Amino acid sequence: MASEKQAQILFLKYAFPCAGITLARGHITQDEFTLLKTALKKELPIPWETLERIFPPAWRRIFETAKILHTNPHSLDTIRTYYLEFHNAYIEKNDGSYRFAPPVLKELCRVERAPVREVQKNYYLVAIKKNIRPVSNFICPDAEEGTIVSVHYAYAIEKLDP
Amino acid sequence: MCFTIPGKIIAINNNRATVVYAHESRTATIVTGTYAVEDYVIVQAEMVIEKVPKEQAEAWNEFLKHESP
Repeated sequence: MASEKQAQILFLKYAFPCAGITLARGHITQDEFTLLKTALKKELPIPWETLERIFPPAWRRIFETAKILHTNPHSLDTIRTYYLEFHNAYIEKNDGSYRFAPPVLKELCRVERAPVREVQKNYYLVAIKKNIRPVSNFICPDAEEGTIVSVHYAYAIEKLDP
Repeated sequence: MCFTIPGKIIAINNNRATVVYAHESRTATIVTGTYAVEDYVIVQAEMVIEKVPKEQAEAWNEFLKHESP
């Protein structure tokens, strides 16, 4: 059960930055958005059915990834592998609504591995493709200068092995 | 609130930008980069994170009509 809880929390960490789009579309309410944010802050797991209802395209792609890998879609490893190894390819091939996404959005939606160049109180400056981008430390508060973090939109998600 | 949609900067005071959307405005911190009044930008985590060309900002609405990314 502990690993299931960790997997639910990891999924929310990666998916939460997209919740702003879901909110803008009116698919979730401001209260639901706040609930996700609170769950993230307190590391509270959210049931799979709720996560799958709120983020259906992500789950479609995770299920496809799990099928390729012959793994459990709800496992920690599958979720991490999807975001780190498969997610950007879906963007590049204009899967689903990415076909309609402006280039800036597609760039922000990519999950990048980025070194932390500077640590500030609420954010890091990270290096992505020769650019310096500010990312919130809300989800991943314990990185240090030089740490490699995964980045999704304006959030550092988790520390990665170099 | 965290819209992840473009808003337009209408004022900048020191490193704080006032950004307007269809139904509200908010302030966000400019951490790095050069921004000006009239720029369309994305704000997330209370930071201005990216400038958006006007034509892309306008295309955002079409994108939002489709499924979540």
